[in-house]
Amino acid sequence: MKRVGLCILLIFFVALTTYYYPKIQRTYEPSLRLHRLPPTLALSVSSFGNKQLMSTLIFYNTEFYFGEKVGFRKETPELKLIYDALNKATDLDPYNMDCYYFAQGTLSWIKPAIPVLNRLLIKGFKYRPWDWYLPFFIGANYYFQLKDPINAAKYTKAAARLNPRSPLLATLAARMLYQGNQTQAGIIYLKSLIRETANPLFLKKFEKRLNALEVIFSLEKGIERYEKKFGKSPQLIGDLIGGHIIKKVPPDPYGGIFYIGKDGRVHTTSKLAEGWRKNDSHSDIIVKKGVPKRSSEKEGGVP
Amino acid sequence: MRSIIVLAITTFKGGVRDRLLQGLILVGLLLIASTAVFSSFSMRQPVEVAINYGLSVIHILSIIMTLFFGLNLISRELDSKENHFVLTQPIPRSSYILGKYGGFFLNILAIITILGLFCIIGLLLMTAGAKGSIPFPWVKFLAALLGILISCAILGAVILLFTSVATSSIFPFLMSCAIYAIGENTQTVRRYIASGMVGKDFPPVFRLLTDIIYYLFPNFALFDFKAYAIYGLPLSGKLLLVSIAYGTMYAAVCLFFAVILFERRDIS
Repeated sequence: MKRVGLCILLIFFVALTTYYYPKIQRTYEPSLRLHRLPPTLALSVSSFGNKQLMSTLIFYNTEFYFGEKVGFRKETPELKLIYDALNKATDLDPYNMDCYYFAQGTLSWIKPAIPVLNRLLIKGFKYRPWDWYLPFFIGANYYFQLKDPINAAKYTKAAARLNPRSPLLATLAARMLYQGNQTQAGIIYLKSLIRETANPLFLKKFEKRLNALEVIFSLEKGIERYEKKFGKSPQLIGDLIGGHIIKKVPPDPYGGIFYIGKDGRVHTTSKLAEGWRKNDSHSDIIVKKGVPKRSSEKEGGVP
Repeated sequence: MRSIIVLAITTFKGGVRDRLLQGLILVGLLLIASTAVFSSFSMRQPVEVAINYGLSVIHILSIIMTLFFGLNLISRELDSKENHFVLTQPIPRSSYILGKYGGFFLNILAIITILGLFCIIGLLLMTAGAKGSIPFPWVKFLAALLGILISCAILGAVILLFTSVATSSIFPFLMSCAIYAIGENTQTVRRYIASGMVGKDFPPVFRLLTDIIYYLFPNFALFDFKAYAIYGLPLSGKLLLVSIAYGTMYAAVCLFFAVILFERRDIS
């Protein structure tokens, strides 16, 4: 009887600590770090002939780190170390598509990272010349981030050649060649990514960006209709409502406010950036009827 | 010849009854069963990751089994004087060594076949549900298994070579582990030095030493066909044939010296 009581007591304490430790752990545990990996030669030697498995394990470690850091802890990940890990993983196994896909998903949003990211993707394309995703990613990075439509078209055409079943790629490449409507090109690009992705974190990001671009695209079409109807360009977004072109200005999913820039294109005060707050970088903009009176906006409307 | 076959079959049966091998096979089966879980974290290539995982598990377990089973062949029998009964029979010592090696080879072949079959079943179940992935590369998968078998065959012959001269089982075990580690990486290190990344200050003596090691020790990287199976890369028949020829010859040379050394050994 004593033993049964002791057993119940022990189980009770285990249950109690199991209930409480996650809360205490989250309060006191240090910031999650991705450790710098040893040189590729050391990794290769220590894999004992299983370089592909080592590459996959490095990728999983990076993936789990990113998931916990961004999805669970809501912290900013160490992108330089993510790149370092993915670069070493692809040195071990240059065919590892997961690494290239993950690198594109995490690093393509940061403009200064694009040159190294493209170098990584070009390495992948050298080893996977049959894979249309890699030139597609490289082309998209050149186009949307580096504003280099010539190189963008070169790689997107390579992607279209490798994936002739997708008319979207050919359309995108053509648009890049003519440096046409960047918003529509962005919508095509994001729709392709959404269709193929299974990662919920990426999917959320892509869908949010797509939503914003579709709104911008509809406003740009509205401007075109306004110009046809009145023979002049609208000065304010509100003019589209006044001219009965649109009923209301749709909200920016990133929390910004749409306005018409000096170039006549639709911009937003959020710059389509994650984490933008009205009182942060744009506190000097006086907003009236959804239109800023003064703006230092030079870019926007592109993914 | 008959004595070799009889000894090979007896060794094979002894190996099948070995609990260590049975346990390792069980671990291998569990690991292969976990293939689906392991590959589910892949973003773009779950089937490729599954093949990678399955082949790597087979590779690692086969090498472990080769090391332990190879040591059990003669070394432990000599330690416990179990083989004195066989050696007192009118059987040449060369037949004893070759028979033991034949039994070892059959055991490793059986292990790789069983693990390979379970791996194939797991992969077939996975590829049936996967969309837009590569078709299963049967020939290359079998080539990868053959590469693992050749690696194990060479390592087994190396173990026999050291066992035939060693007085305890620790020495052949350590030497075989060292030779496997060197043989698995000698190509990588030599290519790294040849790439020029080591700089001009790299001593030429080390470069020469690396070359000697590269040619003297077995190059296990030559038998690594896993990348071909994982990504369906084109595999040259010539490369496969050269690898098989190199592996067979290397194992034959090791066995030749093992026989010579064992014949001169004073068992009593």
